[in-house]
Amino acid sequence: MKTLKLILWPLLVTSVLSAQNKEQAIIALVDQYSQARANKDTGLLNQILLPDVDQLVSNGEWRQGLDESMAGMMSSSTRQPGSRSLTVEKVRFLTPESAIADARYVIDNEDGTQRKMWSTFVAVQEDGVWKIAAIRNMLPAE
Amino acid sequence: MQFGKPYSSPNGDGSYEVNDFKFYLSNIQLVSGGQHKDFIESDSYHLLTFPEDNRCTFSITGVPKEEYKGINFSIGVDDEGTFSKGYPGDLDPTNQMAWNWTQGYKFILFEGLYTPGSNDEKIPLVYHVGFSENKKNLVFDLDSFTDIRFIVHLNQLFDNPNLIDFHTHPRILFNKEHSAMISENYAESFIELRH
Repeated sequence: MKTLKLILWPLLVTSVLSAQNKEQAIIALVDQYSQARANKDTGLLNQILLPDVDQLVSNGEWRQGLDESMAGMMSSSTRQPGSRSLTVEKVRFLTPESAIADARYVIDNEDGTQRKMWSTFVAVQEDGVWKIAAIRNMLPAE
Repeated sequence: MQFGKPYSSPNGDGSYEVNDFKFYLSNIQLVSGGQHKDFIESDSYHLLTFPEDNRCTFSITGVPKEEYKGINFSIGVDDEGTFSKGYPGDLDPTNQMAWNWTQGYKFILFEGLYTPGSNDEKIPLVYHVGFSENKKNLVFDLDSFTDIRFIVHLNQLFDNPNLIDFHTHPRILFNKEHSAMISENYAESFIELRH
């Protein structure tokens, strides 16, 4: 015999602000991602990442799919503690339902140093809800 | 979803916020596809509520370690539960889901506030849906048998296939025709299995 767990998340991501201003919707999405990483909130990550999301992180590692991406995010947050900030610099809409957002990604290490990177998000809108389809991190060469 | 936060209204005019949201999920059945017996949960009445951590989790115990190809359940409460002398599962006449004008339970309770785009007026939204005919059976294919995750698309409750205009119908409690419109919505794309 086994115990089976059922988990249900209510989804209502599209805010009024998002509807009025698509760029704000993308910025809000990246903010949610940042909060989810900071809080290790896998429930929120589940809501804002597409099932086939992929991620290229700054060490060259690829993470394919939701489970692998989330596992990697949780692992790197544990492996590399420190506060992370994502500040969206530019949003470009490829179509009304897809956009690229470039964000400055800064990790304040516990030793006082900073790791300054770029993070690019590909977002798509499904059923009126913006979600992250891809993440590309880049650490500029010194 | 966050309680008290404004979201775009389904008709595109103004915003609404959620103050309370819960519903009954019942008669859970795991379908084997004929290789062995289906698993039918006994006393299968679950009241789903969504606290601040924004998810509802519950467990089904005593499930044989077999392969299952699907999961079926209902939104609502069947007559057996409604008229049972005991209170199986989460059925409880004191839990805010029992009607006070007739026997039985609300299947879905949604309460909130609607702010039209044209002004700052806040209109109370009250949707309590019951009636036997509004119990809807949902069927999902399973491709794995670990934790089963669902997304509850709350907007779909008011949008697909029937648009519920918050202006025209801010309250639906006793009207059978309007209740049926909402039940047709939650029978469609309201709950999505997350593979």
